[in-house]
Amino acid sequence: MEKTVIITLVLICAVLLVRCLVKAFREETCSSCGGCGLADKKNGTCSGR
Amino acid sequence: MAAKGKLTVALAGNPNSGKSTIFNNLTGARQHVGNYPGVTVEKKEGSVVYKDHEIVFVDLPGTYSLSAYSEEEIVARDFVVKDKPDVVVHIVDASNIERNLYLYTQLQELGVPVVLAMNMSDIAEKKGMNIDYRELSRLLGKSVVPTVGSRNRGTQELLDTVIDLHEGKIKIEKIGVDYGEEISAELEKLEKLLRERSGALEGYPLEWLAVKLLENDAWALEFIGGMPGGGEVLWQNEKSRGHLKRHFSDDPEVVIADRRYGFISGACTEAKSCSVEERHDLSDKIDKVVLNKFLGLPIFALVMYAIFKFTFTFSGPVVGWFEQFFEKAGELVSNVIPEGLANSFVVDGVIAGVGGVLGFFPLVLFMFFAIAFFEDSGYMARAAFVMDRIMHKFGLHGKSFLPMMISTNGCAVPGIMATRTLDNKKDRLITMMVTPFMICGAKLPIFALFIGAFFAPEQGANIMFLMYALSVAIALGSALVLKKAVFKGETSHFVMELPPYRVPTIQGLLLKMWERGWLYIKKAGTIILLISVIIWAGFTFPQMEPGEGVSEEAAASAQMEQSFAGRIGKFVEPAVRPLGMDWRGGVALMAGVAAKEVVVSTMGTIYSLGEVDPEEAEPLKEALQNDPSWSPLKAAAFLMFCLIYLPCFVAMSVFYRESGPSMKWTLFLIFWTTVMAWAASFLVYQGGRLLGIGG
Repeated sequence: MEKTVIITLVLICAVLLVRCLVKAFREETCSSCGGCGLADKKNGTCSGR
Repeated sequence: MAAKGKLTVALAGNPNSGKSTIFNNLTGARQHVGNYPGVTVEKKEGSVVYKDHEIVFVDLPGTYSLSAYSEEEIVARDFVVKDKPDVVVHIVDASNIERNLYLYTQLQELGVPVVLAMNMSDIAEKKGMNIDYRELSRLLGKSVVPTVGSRNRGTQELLDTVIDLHEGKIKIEKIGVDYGEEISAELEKLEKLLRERSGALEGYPLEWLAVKLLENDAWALEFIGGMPGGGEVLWQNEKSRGHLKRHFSDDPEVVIADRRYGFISGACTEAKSCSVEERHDLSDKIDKVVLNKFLGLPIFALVMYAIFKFTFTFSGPVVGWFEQFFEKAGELVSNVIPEGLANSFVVDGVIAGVGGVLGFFPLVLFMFFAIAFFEDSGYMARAAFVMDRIMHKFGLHGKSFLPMMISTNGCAVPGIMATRTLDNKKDRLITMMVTPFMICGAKLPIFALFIGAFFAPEQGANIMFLMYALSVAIALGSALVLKKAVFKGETSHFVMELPPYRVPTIQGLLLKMWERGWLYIKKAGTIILLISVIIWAGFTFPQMEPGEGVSEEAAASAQMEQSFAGRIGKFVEPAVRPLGMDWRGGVALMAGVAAKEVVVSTMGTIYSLGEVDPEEAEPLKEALQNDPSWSPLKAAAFLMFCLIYLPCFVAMSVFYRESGPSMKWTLFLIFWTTVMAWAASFLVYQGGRLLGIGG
């Protein structure tokens, strides 16, 4: 039971991660990357700094 | 109450005119403001409801003109022409009025309703400039509103003026540049031909297009050449240009620019007076030292060293508290959840992974604060200027240093995007290729972890500075190689603006530090958390039964080696073994491609899984110190690899898009950085061993 729950959680994380990376690849870079602090929340684009 | 109407207002202006600050004041949005040119590359939107109007503000990229010399100019121009905003607010640096108004002369040619916001009017006053805004408004035939963006002064008046202009309560007059009889006659000929083809002009004003043609604007020539009957217009243009060239003994574009500056100069002479000598202000005095041929570079090095010294000196104790906090959290969870998969999931996966990254949060905050101080003061723009001479020796110019600094100050993603300010395609690609070599905020925890684990605490800032200097040297060396071998060609010239120095406000610094810091936390709570869980699962499954008589330590170690991640690690181990790493280092590096902080979180998970007794769990730094398979030399080789190897997934995605999109150049980037990283790391490790520095 414990193993099933944990594996399900891991699979959910894997799906979310793929979604996150795909989102990052499609122009919405900064809002997913968050590295620079310059995400344009509305447009999902980077301000260039 | 329903809004009376929606209006779109574009904010245009020169780089560093305070446009982004005004945008923030008008919309309440939190957009970063940096005190050096090229901050805004894409247009951004923000809206506000004022006096029952929904006003959408669009922050256009900072430009000096509306020619087709750079991406920003095209983005700004196309928006003004094609999207037809209801009002254009032209933000003018009042302390540098002559140069800033050059853009105005082009905006008014586009025939859009313009309001002039004379920003930084306080600085103009301090410089001893006395600007008669009413007179200026009369001379230009436009509304002029003095503002002080940094203190949010004049925002209300600006909004009122925009509304009044939109509602027709203010009339604007079209007072344009008088190009003189000769040029005007030629413009008329071109306009006549263009009028006959107005259906194909896509909304571009005739007068403006005619001026662009005479200026030999590359975009205008291509645009007109591509439309039906465009050949005749281009033929007339050649004839007109030839005539003007003979008449003025100079290129028409030079004469046109002269006329524009003449118009501006005339307006300024009447509306502006100076009580003190402008040229000898404080900024100039500081620049005499800071930009000195011999002192410039040492001062820049000193500034970078000061940033690292400040960061390491003051963040050390706070980082220690954070580490203890996560250690205690792990112990607490171990006491609550019984030993088993769920316990390991939380302690080894989530806490060890995310905690390993979040432990360095104070260090990142201190670093961002120090960098924000130099950015906002205006020094960072000087750094690029200082680097210009050196950059030229490496086939680039100072403008290419800005994206590299942006990468150091935060992330390679905006660094790569900031290369849009470079006009030359080859220069742009080279800069994009070398920008990821810089130490971004995500690489910082890796360096802090290994420096803290293997070098004396008082050496932290020195080693970090050394790594920074190395990253610049590697970037420049790579640029030279790429320029000589792959991207041969001339380097384009540019004029770099030096904004006046300003005293940064504490509020501004804290806001900038927090915004960047908050995203670090956000990233740790999302992508790093997810990857940590996957990495944990990779080391936990498939589970194997420990053999009889095998110690717990040996069983834990065998489990990791037999796991999915362990097998991948073992597969890549031969490639990283000559660099002094074992399979664990290989796995951490591979995982780090998703996000560089993941190198730290993966190490955290690996060492946490290797712990048998939760009561004896030690912070990651100590675990690395106590691991005999590491040594300072191996740590140095590992850091060298981390410094150079391929950028994170997101940075690579942006590189792909910005390079064309080009899969060819993206694959080249992956190959180039991996080979370079391996070779440099090999040299450090094997060279160190040969010299007897360590094993």
